[in-house]
Amino acid sequence: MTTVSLLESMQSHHDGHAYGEWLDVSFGRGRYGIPLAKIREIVVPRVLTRVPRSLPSILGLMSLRGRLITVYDPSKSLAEDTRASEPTHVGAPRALKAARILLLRGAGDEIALRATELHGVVRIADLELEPPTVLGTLERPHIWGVARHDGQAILLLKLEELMREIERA
Amino acid sequence: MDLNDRARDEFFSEAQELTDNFGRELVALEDLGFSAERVNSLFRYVHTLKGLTSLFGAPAVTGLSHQLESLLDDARMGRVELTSEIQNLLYRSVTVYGQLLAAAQGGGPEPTEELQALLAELSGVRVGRAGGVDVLADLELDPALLGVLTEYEEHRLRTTLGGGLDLFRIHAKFSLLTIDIELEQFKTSIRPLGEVITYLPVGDASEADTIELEVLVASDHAILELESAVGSTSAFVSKVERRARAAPRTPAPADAGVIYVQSTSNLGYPQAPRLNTLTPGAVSARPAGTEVRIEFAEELSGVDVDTDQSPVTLRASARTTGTAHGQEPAADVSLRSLARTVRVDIRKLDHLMNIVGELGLVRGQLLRIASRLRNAPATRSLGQALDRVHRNLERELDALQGGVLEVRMVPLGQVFDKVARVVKQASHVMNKRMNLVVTGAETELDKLIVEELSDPLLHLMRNALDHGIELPDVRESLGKPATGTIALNAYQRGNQVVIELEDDGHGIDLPAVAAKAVRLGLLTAEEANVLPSSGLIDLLFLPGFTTREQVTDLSGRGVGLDIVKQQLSKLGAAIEVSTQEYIGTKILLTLPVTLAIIRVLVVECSGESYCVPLGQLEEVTRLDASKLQFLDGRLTYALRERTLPAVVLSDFFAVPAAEATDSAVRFVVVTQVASKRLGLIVDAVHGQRDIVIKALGRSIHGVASFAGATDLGDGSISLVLDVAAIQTECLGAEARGSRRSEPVAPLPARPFA
Repeated sequence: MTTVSLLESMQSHHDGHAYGEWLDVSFGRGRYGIPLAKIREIVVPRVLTRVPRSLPSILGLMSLRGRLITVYDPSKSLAEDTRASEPTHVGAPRALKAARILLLRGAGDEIALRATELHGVVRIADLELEPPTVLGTLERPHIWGVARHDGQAILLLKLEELMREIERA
Repeated sequence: MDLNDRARDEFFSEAQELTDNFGRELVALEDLGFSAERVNSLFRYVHTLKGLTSLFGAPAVTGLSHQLESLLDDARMGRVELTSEIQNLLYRSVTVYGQLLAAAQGGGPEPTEELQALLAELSGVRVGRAGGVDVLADLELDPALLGVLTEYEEHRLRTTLGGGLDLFRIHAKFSLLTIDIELEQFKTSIRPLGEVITYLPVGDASEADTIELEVLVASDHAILELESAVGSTSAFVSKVERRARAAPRTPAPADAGVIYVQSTSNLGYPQAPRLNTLTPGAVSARPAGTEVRIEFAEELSGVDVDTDQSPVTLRASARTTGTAHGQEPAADVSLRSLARTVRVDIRKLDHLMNIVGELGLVRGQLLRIASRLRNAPATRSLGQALDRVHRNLERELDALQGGVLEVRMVPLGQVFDKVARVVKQASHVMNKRMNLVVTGAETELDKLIVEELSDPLLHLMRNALDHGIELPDVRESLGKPATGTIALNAYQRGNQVVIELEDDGHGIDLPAVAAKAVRLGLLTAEEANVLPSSGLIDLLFLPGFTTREQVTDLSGRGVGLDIVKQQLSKLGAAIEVSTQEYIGTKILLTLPVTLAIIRVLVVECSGESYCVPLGQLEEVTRLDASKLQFLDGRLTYALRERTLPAVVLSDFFAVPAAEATDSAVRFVVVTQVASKRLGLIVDAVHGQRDIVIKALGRSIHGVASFAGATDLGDGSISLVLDVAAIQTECLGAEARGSRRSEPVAPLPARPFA
């Protein structure tokens, strides 16, 4: 891990999720917010190589400028209806036009999440915030809060917790 | 990484290297016997480590080094004998060093208790020594003379006297002009009778052209013999008597005819700094009787070959190493480092290797452009020119790739040394006697593999010692030599390296393995009866399987062999075990030479391409569906009248099979790791290529089937099969266990085309 990424992961650890800007995306049908500072790069989907016998949340591997990147689909861990996300393997190469691959920063491994759709960047100052407890008593460690933006509910995610859940799934 | 980080990294890597060297020297000391040079090396390593750690602030390491330094200093001066208890302490120190360094690096707990215990024992050794009997104190010798002896001479004196020799002083007069010749004759005449401890110039320079030397000689011959050997009228021999123990000091009765003036001794044995070497020419340039010190390295090494040369002073080492056989060259002649090597972080090499791989991809693109240009009439000559450039590039790239690969190669000795040290230490603890015979340590392997190999290898060695080698009395009652032998051998075979680990212990108790397996419910009693020994051995690699009822410090906790197997198959290694009761056990590890670049066959299965390492590939043949048959619930293929276990890759991966057409030809890819064979049935074969293998992310790492992934050059990723792991799963005892519930290779859903 380079000094820079170490610093960043430490910062994110200490600052909690007090990020100013969030990326508003869909995983499956639901709307989610991911701290913009956690995203290194956004690329259009490319052919993924399926990894047999791996976690169901692993969509496959892709190559980006010589780097090997593991792409995850977080929708299962987020209890999303996955019918919206279609397979993008070689066998069925129809990638969703709207889908994007979000490369994450500072996670040690080269990992990425596939979002069904990107809606834009929202500033926390423009959001109406509610604590995760409005969703009931169910413990959802990866949810930082609920935000409302233009009449839409957006679940703001804690990325580290989410990745932990995904890798457990 | 900033400068401090780098310095810290350098420090740890250097400290580790010193510790490793210390351990290696320790093993050499035990194997090859005591030598002053070896003890001196030990001392040097500890000394350097002490300096290094005090600089970087690792006080615990410094403290330990200090204690060891004192002990080793005593040892090299012969004040302390390196008994097996003390050697054991030294072995323990290496372990504690490792733990301390790991702790300082933030990778483990401080071994506080072990350190305290070790320090206490180390200082115990030194205190014990102080109470010992000193042979020198019994000598009728002027303490002033003893005071000017070098530490090495003092050591030789103790050794020879301890060995029962008598000490004689020979007072001789030499002419300054011919001293070199005369001394040569003198020592030649003495040599058959004893050992020359030292020469000391004495006298008051009564004659300007002579020099008087007092020569101390240890000998078990009578004084008359020495006198006649010296044969010169200008030399006088006297015997230095030993006082009776605890008797009051009395002057020595001088032998008749000896002219020796006691009072000159204080003048003649000055406490001043002395020259290390002196040529005859230099002697004549000085007034006789001054502080002249003459040492003849040749003489010393010629007399006591077994103890090598003085550890303290720099003697004429070029001559010494030239004349004495079997001696190690003195390493401390120059401060300039002799090693023309650079320590490089393996990650940097990985990075270079990646670049080489990427360049290979660029090369492929160039080739395609060249062929397009060539095929168009207007640009044909341009295309041909590009082709030529491409061929040059290809050649240079190959050389570059070979060079980077070569840099990654290190001798297996690196890991053998570590393992040898730990096992030797363990044998002391267990009161077992063991010879470790290491051959092929120069065999080279990828650094990464060598590193990863140390844990599994250590485990196997400990097993050999703990479970294999019997206690000395048991061995003797079996008619075996009391000292067991563990042989570690390595050699290269094609692009694989084989490591053999063989012990002459009591072998694996296969009936006990079978009984345990039945008790654990892994096998029925009937199955256990018919299972061949290789099947029983496979059971040992199951998690939690141990036949030992008693857990020892070293092994037998039942966590182990399964981990060993896991670690090894991650390296693409295969493990084979053969055993014979009372005769011993032999373990064969087969490893790829490098993990970085491998040659693979690209195959296709259900629309995805996979890479099969060529090193594990035996042959590829077209599938003849009529030769497929289920035997005992397993898919087999009849290959040239031999039964080959087989698996349909898409079934193994549980992915949908490719659409079948009547004309589709499928292939059997015959893999072989060690002596195990397995046929993989695939949809297509796409040829060979060199690939740069990349590590999988951590959540895929756990998927046993893949050794890594690679970019095929068109931007698509292909997974590299871990053939050893797939074989294990399809052929091993685990597959047998799971076979009852769900077949590993279920019946193909459709008839084979």
